[in-house]
Amino acid sequence: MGNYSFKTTGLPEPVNGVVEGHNFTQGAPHTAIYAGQTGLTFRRCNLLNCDVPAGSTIEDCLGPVHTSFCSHLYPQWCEKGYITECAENCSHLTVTDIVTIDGVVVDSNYTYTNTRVD
Amino acid sequence: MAGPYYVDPAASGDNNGSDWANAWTNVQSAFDTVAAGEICYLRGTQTFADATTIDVDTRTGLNAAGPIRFIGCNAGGTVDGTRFVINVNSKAVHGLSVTTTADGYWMENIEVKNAGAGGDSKHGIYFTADARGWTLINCCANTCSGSGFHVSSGTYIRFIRCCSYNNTESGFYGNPSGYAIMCSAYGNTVAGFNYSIVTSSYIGCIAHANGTGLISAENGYLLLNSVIDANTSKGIDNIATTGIQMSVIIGNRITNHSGAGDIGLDCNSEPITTGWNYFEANDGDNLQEATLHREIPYWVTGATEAGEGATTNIHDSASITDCGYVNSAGDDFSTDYTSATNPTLRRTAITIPWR
Repeated sequence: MGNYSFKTTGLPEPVNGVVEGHNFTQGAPHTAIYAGQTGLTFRRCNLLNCDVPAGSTIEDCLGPVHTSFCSHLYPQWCEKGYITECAENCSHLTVTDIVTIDGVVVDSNYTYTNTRVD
Repeated sequence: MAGPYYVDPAASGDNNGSDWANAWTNVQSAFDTVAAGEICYLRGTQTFADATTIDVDTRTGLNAAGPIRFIGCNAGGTVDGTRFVINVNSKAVHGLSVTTTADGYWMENIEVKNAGAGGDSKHGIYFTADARGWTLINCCANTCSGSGFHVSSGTYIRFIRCCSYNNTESGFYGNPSGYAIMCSAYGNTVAGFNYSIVTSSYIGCIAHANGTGLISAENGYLLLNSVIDANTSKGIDNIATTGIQMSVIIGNRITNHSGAGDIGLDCNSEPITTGWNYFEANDGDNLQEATLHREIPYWVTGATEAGEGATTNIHDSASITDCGYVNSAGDDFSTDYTSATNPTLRRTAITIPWR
């Protein structure tokens, strides 16, 4: 059982074609893992943002499901290059709260949320 | 006081919770019915067919009447540590959503997994209201797009012998004035234990192979006799805050943070007191001593001043194999070190339930 978040190389070897009990969370949606391998079964894995080989069997996993992560919510991932840096008015922006006093903008508060990707 | 009640998703009787044959097939019915002082037994697996969360928003366990108890059983209905499983089945909801001040639940042998469908993070068990006094024993939250156990609001949540693994965010998040005893957090992308805050306590826990082992956002926590090992970033990261509460970190093993520059214990100039920790194989500083507030001095036989001739944190003992663990590669973080010549090394064995 291992943490292979943000990795597409050095992944654990399947055992009798089964990959079981690992976290393969990726930074970008539709990131391929085990590319070129066939006949795999993924069991009890976290497959967030993963594209597994066509024909793979998925048993009791999270996903594959896909998320566009906002770097404002995960700055540490952005620093390490796992996700792309977002602009201040990125597509993840949901609420903008501008605070003004006597007509002068004194503060800006932004709310961001990750978005689902099909 | 009524009950006991029963939940079994495979039951085919009257679905009224009165016994195993007529058990409720949806645990929501139990959360809507079981009252303070009453007990519900659960067995099997409930798999979500749609994006409908299980809301805990109706009943409260009161101190006078006692907690509301949910206890998982094996297939024969016996309590033996087998967990009742809530499989969110990659739906866009949390597993359990505690959305009101639902106090005083006792959850034993319950597992929640596979929460999320992309987009907003979905957690295994999510406390959004000031629910107080929950006790979770041998519970497990895993493979969620958010955190396993996420205490956004709520206090005095007690985790005993629980585990949380392979979540995209953290194993255990939040939990003011709460504690985790003999819990394990491993394989989580962000952190094992995250947002450690005022009066949180972690005793005899393991944080292994997470992004960061433990992240503290406000200090004032206790970390005692725990293992922080092989996390892919720092072992312990104390984020700069404006709080003045002191954290105490004693008797832990902080090891194998082998990424370039990864620090075992990053104090970041926060008010932290440490002592009797063992550090080994951290690529960066084992301990950011320059920013450490205070090490606990202690007396050595024959010394005339506190701490004379001794160190209170041990760094890199080359004579210790596998950092003192019995078999870390095999997930055995027990320690069997029994040196009579170096009594400063902790010899308390830890046996942690991984799953």
